[in-house]
Amino acid sequence: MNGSVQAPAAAPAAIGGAFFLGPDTNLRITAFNAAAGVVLTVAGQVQGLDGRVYPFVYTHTPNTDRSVSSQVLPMGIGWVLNAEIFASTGTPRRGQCFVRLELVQGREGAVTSLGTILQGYAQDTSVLAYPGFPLTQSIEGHGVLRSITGTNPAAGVEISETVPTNARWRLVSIAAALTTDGTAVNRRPTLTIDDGATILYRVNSGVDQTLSLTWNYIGGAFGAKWASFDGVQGWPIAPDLWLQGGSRIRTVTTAIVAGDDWTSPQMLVEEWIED
Amino acid sequence: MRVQCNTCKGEYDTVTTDGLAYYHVCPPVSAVRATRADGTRAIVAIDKLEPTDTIRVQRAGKPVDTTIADLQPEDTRLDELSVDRPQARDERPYRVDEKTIGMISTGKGITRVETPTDAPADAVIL
Repeated sequence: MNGSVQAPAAAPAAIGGAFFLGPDTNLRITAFNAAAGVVLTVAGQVQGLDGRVYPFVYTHTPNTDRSVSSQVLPMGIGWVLNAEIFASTGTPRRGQCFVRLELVQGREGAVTSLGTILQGYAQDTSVLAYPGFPLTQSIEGHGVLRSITGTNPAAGVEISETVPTNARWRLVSIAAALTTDGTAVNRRPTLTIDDGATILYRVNSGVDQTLSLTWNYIGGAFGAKWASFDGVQGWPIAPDLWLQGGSRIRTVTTAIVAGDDWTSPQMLVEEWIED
Repeated sequence: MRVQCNTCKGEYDTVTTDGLAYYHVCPPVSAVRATRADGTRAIVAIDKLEPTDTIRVQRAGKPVDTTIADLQPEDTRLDELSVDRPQARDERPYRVDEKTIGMISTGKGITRVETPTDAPADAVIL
């Protein structure tokens, strides 16, 4: 095999065993991150063919818009005994900084993945470690809970929030208020979920809002609508409303007029990096 | 930083309270199919409707054509639409090349909004 090296039979048995670094074989970290100010540290030990153990420590600064970043980490020949990844700067929560550590052939240009050593969410509070940690997918387990204030629309304009690229949201709740102007028509606000074009889910409050009122609307997994109570209306939503990047959470208000005014929506979402 | 979108006039903070970037995307335009006073049919944004425009509503369970001026409180507008907003701003990141990330559409841009300053240091909370 071109470029292959025969590991000497006398080499001590390695703890990690499976990952052998030959000539032009390196490690590569790949990250998809949403949190600000994150620096990742990749550290570990390699046992060389001479039997000695060599530590390695690298840092990687990922992008903050969930787009992919990657960095090849040059290595010598030997066995990967152990490796770990953690956030040495910043405080990414589970669901915000997904990383993968691979064995790759090459350093620049065409780089080929040979095997995956670590895969999961990097945090400052816990460490991804090899050996011992399973490779996990980005949408496994719980994500990060985020309270997000959306855009305050101009008068006569509906609420519309778009799930960011490379994010997956589970909508837990949404709250907003509508103030109607003096036009004597009944408004019926409908919470509408679409994939960016096609409507997937919609529910109205069941009670029409008349002129010159301010009513609060709350969406959550209530299971049923209720009659208006002190101007609070309910939008029951599915308990597991999973939304991919580009999906929209918006209102469609029947008979909305130019003087009607929605507040900013306040959303509670559980967020992951998209798989 | 608080800004106003010059396209849709919505206001938002560019960074959310948890420190992550907020990506504004303009909402669609709420519109309705209408017949203008001169008889032409058009899709008209709700803020552009004239009292003389005729639209179709559901009144007492039946579809009825009525002018905006003659709308009754119980009327439910039919033929309502959400249409793409012209020059919509879409701040979601878009990879221009290996090292450059832009946004999908800048629209008409943004304007910084002055926010009220905090209470002066000698303010007394009662």
